[in-house]
Amino acid sequence: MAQNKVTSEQFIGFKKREAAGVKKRAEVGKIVSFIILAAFCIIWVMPFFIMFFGSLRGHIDTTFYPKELFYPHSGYTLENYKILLFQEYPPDFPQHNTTQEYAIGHWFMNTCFSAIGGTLLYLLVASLAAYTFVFIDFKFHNVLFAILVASMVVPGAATSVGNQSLVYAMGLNKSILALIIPGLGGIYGMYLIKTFFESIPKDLIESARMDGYNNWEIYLKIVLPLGKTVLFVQGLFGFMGGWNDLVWPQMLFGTQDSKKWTLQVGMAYIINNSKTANLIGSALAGGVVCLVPVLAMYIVAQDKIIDGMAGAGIKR
Amino acid sequence: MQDTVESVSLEAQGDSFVSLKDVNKIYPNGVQAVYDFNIDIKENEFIVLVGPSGCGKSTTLRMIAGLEDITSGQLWINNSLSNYKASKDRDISMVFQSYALYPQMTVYDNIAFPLRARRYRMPVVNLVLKAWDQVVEALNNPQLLADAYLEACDRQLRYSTVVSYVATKLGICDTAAKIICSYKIKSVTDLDNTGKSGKRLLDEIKERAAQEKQKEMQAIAEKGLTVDDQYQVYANGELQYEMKKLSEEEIRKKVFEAAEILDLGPYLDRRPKELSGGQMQRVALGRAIVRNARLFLMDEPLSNLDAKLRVQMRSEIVRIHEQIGATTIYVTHDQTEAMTMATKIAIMSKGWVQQIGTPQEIYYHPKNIFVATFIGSPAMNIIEGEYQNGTITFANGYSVQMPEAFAAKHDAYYREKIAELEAVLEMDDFKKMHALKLIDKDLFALHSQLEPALVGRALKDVIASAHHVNEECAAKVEALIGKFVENEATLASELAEAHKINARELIVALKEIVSTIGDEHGKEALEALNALAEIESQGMGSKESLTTYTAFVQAVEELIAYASTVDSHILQTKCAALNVAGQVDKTSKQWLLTVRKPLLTFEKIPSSVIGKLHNAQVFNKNEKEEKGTLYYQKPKKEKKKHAVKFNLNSVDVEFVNNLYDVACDLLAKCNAALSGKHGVRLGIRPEDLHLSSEFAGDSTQGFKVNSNIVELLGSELLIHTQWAGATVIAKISTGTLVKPHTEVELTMNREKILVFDENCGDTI
Repeated sequence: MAQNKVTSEQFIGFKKREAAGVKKRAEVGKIVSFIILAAFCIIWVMPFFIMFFGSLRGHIDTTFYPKELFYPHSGYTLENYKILLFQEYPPDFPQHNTTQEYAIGHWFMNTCFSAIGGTLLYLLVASLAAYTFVFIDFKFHNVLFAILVASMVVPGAATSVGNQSLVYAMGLNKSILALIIPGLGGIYGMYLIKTFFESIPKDLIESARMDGYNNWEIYLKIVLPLGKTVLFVQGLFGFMGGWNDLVWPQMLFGTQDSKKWTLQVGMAYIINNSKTANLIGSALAGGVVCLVPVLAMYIVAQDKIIDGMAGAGIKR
Repeated sequence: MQDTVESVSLEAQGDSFVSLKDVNKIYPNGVQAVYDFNIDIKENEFIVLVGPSGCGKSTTLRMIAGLEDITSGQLWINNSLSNYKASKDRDISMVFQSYALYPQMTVYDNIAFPLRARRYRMPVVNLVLKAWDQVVEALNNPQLLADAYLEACDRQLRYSTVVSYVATKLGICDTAAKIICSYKIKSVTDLDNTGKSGKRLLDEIKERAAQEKQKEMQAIAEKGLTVDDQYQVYANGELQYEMKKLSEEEIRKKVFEAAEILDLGPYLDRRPKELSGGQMQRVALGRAIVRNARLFLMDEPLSNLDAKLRVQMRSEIVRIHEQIGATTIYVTHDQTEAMTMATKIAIMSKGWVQQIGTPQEIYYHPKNIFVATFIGSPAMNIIEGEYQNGTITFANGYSVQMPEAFAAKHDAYYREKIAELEAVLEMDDFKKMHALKLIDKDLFALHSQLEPALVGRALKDVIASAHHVNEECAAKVEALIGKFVENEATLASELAEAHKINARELIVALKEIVSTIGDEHGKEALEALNALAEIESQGMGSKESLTTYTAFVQAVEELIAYASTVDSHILQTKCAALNVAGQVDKTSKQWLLTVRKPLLTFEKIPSSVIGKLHNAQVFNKNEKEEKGTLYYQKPKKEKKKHAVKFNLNSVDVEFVNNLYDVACDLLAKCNAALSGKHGVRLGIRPEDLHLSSEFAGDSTQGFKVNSNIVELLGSELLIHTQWAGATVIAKISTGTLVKPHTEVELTMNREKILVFDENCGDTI
């Protein structure tokens, strides 16, 4: 290609810079930064490796930790997963005090329900609220919004006891819906979505209104398609929050039948149980089981997550 | 124009299609964006609202569109009062400055979007019969059918499925196309293959068509309906209607029509971000025209385009307007657009309409100096001069002898103006203002009122502060007021007496004005004044008999004059405090407040009068911008709620109301103008300034100027020069080449000279 040809002046320039050591310094910088990054990478990944290989370690090998970190002398085994998933203890397994059933299938379904269902429902509620605040002019909407934002100051932990007694009073303490409903009043996501909606040109909405569309149609046909990035980001945040939530499900169902638990409550129970050392492997296996769906989602949606995080709140 | 709130006529406006009557817009924060907008727009007209930015033209358009509330006034569209109609019910379509295209949709969907919104009343059509008939007809030309299907499969279009492509290609309805597509006929020979039933495919289809039609006919007959050859359904001989949305094929037809008009065919499958500015503009236009609305609104549609494209789109829009014929209201700040596109222009400034007329009228007969300078490029030259007996003389001694008819015109103009202003001043509300002015002038001087009992102390204060300045000053001040310190008691009693006399005089004057006010507020004020009769009767003496007082007032006058020459702020303030002329009795103060309250109600000032006085202020030659130039109340609830922030009983707040002053001032100036020499502003367009060697028409005496800058614009030369205290631009043809910094002799075309009144900016 003609424009890729290097002129003699440019060539001399390169040589001069080379002579001045510019190129060398750049290389050194690259190597140093690579080493630092690699070190941090290893530190960051290490716990995951320990967890993964630890879950493949039989109860006989637990005491050889951390001497045989990645390869136990009696070989890899799936017995921890068997304990976790099917309650099949190896014949020589020592005494343990597991009183509650490891209903990991139920836990998984419960968590999926609360995380996915809760997220979708929250997106609907929050985007409708955001639409109302941005595109519908009603009295005192500024005041109302200010009150909502002010309520963000109160930490969740402070209101959780009140929430719990409310849920009990409503008779929801037996229902899994209790995991979802209190979260629907969250302001943060609504605020995020509202900020994004504000960047949608008002002309679009006015034009659609003039054409005879009503608010619901405008919401569905214009605002939602344009706001899908922010909805995705908020959906992701909501899903992660729902998946990783421990305190609230624990408060609700911690003392009830283990079939009502979520993965995190179950995990907490397993970890609590594994103080006998023989069950440490099963705790680590539980960690892997919890992690895999989230990790899979991250890998699949990686591009979109990065796009969404960069794009959220930036005006087009 | 003189409509009050009570006597508004709610009648349709004859032959005008859109009509605005006294439309005002006040934003919730109290800013008034549009004052008293009146316009009648006939069908098929192309109206351009033009004015500098922030003059309220977009607000007006948005009010017509229903995107902003109308604070007061009436909006008639197609002979129905539309103030409170939702914008979707006004049968309008609008083109936005930002185009407002939906980025997630293709051009096709963007244009189709308005069509998909609403339901229309349409005759019921039996689609089954129609479809099968069309299928059979299409089978008569199997080659075309096969080609259409193949082509449809080859193209993978976003907006159009295979079915809709086939339907368009063959000119049949979607249901028929669906049937054809279900057989997947890719070539003519396919029709000869055996179908599912073992027969030839062609025969099979035809057989099925006959069966289906038979079945449908039976079903219809059972319901007691009949179908004509247009497949429209009749019940008992009456055509049946239903409310339904447009079908996809109808939408497609309309979108393609619009695309054809706008030359958008190749871009239908693109998204807005894949289009250039001009194409986006055309899509926005397409979306507006596709709905066949009777009123088009355009809000600066061309301002985002580059200069060349703008010219092109300008003619495009005019062409579309001619083709479609919808009434159009177009907002722009660009006078070229206004002059080239409009059939009628409305020029606005600061919320007021300055002139409405055809481009020719506006160019040749501008109503006032704003219109004259706003329209025309380069702008009209304005030169200040003095008028006397048909001659205008400039600061540099050059004089223009105006045509003979002008003198009569001049006199007639001022006589009319005076008559108008006198009528204005006769109005109740202006009388109220006059009365208020009298009250306020004295009432608000009260905070500096000199108490008769304390006069001695005040005098000593002045003398003391004079001693602080220097000996000479002290001596002078003592000579002036020293004698009053001695007979303090007499002075005090005479002062009190004088205040009472002043109050009486004020009340008499007020009574004279207030008694002529016709409305109930005036009567209320008069009652309050009558209650003051007590004070009136007490002060029986006259001021002339109070010798000490008269001497004192005179001495204080001299003192203040002297103090202003002395460099001492303290002395000046103390002396000012001694000023007692015109001060009224303190007891009458409270009474006057009760008079003041009913007077503070101005409800019936026609906005046309306010508009004139507004112009008189804005276009006044001595542009001393006072704070809050114009302040008055209008009969609007919102305005009252937001604007009346002061306490009416408080004496500390000055009621800034200068409408009366403006009117009085204007009247005085008009009277002066009739009697002799007065200032005017002369306007001459650059194209009416000629080289005196070239111009042969009715010209004025030539004048020599130094050409500072010479611009060559195609076949014209623009000569910028300083002359008679103004920058003058002359546009001359390039017959003679003028070089910069040379002396040229110019002359004015006498017929084209416009003269503006110096005080209110109107054309004489």
